[in-house]
Amino acid sequence: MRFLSAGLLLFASTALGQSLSVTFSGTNIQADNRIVVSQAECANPQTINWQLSNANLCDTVYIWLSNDTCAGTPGTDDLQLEEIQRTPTTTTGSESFRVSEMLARNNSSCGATDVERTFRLCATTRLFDSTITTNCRTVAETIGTPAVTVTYDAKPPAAPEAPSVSGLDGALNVRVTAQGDAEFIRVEVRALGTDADGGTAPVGEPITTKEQSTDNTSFRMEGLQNDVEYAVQARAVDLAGNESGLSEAVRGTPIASSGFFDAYVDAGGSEKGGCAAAGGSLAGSVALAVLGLWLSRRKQS
Amino acid sequence: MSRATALGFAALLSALPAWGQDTPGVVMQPEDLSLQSPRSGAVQFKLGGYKPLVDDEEGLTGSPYKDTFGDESMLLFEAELQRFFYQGVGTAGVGLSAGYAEKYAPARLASGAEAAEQTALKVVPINLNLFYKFDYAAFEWGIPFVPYGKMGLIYTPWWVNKGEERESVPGRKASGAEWGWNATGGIAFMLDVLEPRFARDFDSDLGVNHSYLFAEYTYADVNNFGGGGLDLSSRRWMFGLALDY
Repeated sequence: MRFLSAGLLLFASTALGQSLSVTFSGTNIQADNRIVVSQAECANPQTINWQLSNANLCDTVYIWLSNDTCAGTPGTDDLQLEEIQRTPTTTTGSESFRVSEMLARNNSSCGATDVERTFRLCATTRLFDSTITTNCRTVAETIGTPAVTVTYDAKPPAAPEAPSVSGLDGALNVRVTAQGDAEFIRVEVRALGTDADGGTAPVGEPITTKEQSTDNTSFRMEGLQNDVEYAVQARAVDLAGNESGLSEAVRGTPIASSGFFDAYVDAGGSEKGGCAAAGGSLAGSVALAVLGLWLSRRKQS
Repeated sequence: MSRATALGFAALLSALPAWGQDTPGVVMQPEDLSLQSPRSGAVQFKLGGYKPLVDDEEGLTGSPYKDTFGDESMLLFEAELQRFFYQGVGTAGVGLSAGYAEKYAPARLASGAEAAEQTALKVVPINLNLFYKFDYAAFEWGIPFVPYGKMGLIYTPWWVNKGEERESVPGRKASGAEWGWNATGGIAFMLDVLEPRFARDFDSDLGVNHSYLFAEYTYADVNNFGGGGLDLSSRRWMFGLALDY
């Protein structure tokens, strides 16, 4: 009896050590395990790689795109990418798919604008019922890792709220926060001109633009003239490259300012700046001499 | 403070001298000395207020430092490495220190109002000095106070920023370095007297012979020896921790 228990325990631990999984990888899978596809890339092939952790299968493994959850086997609305038989000849592979095919199975197309659809990349199979039998479970379960989602994003993010602008010396400081799924904010500075109603409005191409991640809400827009009024607008950009409309325009004027050194010079300070060559070499010689003395004494001790 | 806490502090303070007298670790007995690791140098970490005497420069018609940064000092942090070359009646050696301090304030518009961006003065004082500390009394007679003095050369690189960049002034450069000299006097309190056994363990485990808390006053003239330029002289107190190794 004791030998039987030990045998069962050893068998179970071996089986446990070989738990089954399919690992997905690919250059288009982003850090948050998302594949984001823009409208322009909708019909382009997307390639993912897979690796099976071991070849001891109870049943066929399906790799597929699901329009719902990763459970069971692919249905008519889903897109099957691979079917790995019970006795696989390889444990690695790569698959290509087009989001357009998946959209077509779900009554949509790449032409659909203002749409955001999310699908799941799945690997499912029926696992062994237990560690001591060869029976399979009744339902296929997910074995794909990590949980990768495929998002068709043709929906531009909402435009940012009006930025706050303050004048710097030859520059403008702009603060703007994004909304929704925006990943980047682009600030655009334009000259002011006369609009159709005779008022002033932003005109022409941007004089300067800067794009930053939404984590950084402060923009320093440089290369501007002091005492000239500019129009500042912002636009949100999502991961798929969809751009929002422009925010409300806010006006700002760069203004000259004096720092401490300016104040010092204005007060008649004689400092010209820069390090005197003689002084620098003297300092270097002294420092080297001290270091040499220090090291030689350390070596002796 | 509760009465009990006050009594506790009073008891602790009154116990300190007695502790120093009772514990044999303060006065270096021959057996203590033989157990000590060799003592060859020290490291110091210190902190204090640093207010450069920029406005004292000859020929200045205003007070640009005060007008920009007000009356507040910079917070200066310094680290110093010392090497002993004499250990007898006291200890003498050479020390090399480097520090960093910065001060920010709003830049000014032509109207005198505060601008939306900041200006900053940043300095890195580097000091090469000769020092002497009278630690003979601490080692021989168990008096835990060690007076000391230093004298040396100072080289202080500095730069001024406005916004995120170096400030630009036509025909000048808002960065440079000034030479000078300093004299420092201080007093250190040897912490070994508080926990002699711990001090011995500190030595046997890490090679730190003695540790001190200290206060020192520095008289520094950093104006290129009177040659003009930005005057980074100062008169300042610094406080810190020193470890002999």
